[in-house]
Amino acid sequence: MRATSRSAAAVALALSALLGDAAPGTVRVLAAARAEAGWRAEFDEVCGRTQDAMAMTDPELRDLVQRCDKLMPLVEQLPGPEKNVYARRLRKCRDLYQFVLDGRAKESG
Amino acid sequence: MTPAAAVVLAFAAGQSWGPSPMLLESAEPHVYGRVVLDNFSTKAGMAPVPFEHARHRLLYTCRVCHVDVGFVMEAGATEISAETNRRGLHCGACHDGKRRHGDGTIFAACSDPGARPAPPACARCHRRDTDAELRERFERFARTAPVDRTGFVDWEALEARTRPADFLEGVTAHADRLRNDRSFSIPAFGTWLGEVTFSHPKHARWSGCEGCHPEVFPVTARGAVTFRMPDFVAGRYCGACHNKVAFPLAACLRCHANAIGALPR
Repeated sequence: MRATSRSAAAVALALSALLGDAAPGTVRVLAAARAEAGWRAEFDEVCGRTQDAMAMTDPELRDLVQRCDKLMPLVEQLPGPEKNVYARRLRKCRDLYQFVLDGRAKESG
Repeated sequence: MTPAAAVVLAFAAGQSWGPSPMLLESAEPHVYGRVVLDNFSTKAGMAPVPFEHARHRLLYTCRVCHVDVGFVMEAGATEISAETNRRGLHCGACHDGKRRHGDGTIFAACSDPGARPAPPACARCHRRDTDAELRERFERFARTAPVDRTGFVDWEALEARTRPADFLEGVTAHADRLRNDRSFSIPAFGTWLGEVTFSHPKHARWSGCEGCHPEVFPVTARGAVTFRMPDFVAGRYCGACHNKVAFPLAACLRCHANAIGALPR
């Protein structure tokens, strides 16, 4: 899927260069491709750190939880099956970070 | 219950174990970890898809499929369909006709779903194997695989040979190894069995942190939960994997490694 979005972005950029920004369809395609590439990069970044969760500080974990929360509305705009898969994955990441935070709070409290 | 099934009668040791005696029964080795996917197949006039965990876990860790690809460990919850496969999700994340594994290319799943009659390629997944065929296939596989005393494949031993991949290009968000290497002991209630030493490194290598926490193990504070065998039998905690795909609960000594009593090793 990542490869697809990169290709879409490349095609959209090429079209944009050829036709100029006045072509509204191209602008829409470009915006969609950029948005998709954006959410996926952020998704990989926030969900790519789960194995480190135990070694992170509380502020780091809180930041990741917030980034997951911010990303969720974008993921929920994906088409049906993609939304189901990526929203579930994102929830798993978010819940893990929150779980580590909660566990520490219980231990210290 | 068949004679080949792994069966152990676990006797109660006080109230903590629940009803006594308790039957720790699992499927026979040749159908262990076999899941039949049939959300849509039969309705579409196709044979259901019997998914064999054994065949796939030779190649990939549990985490790749259950975290990265997003297969939910609950019957029907993943909503796998021909369309999702064609979109590169679920089975199609690997079975896209392009992805390489070793020297070969992984065949594409559901590449021509509208064709009637179904092309022969569909029968690679949509199939109705007889018990004899499954048994024969398992026996062929088990001839080369390490098998434990209960007759089940010893995946821990096999892993050293097959080295299943824990990363899927374009799907997995990370390739880092777990940094939590803490193992801990869980006391046993039975007087004949020793405590359980739980290894985070072993489990996380297979499942990743988010594979277990918080969904399967929502609380980890020491002493907050009393782990009981009836819970495992019902599919909770360790029973989410063990007795279904990971080694069965009847293989007592795989967890209770330090037996106090006279159970045979």
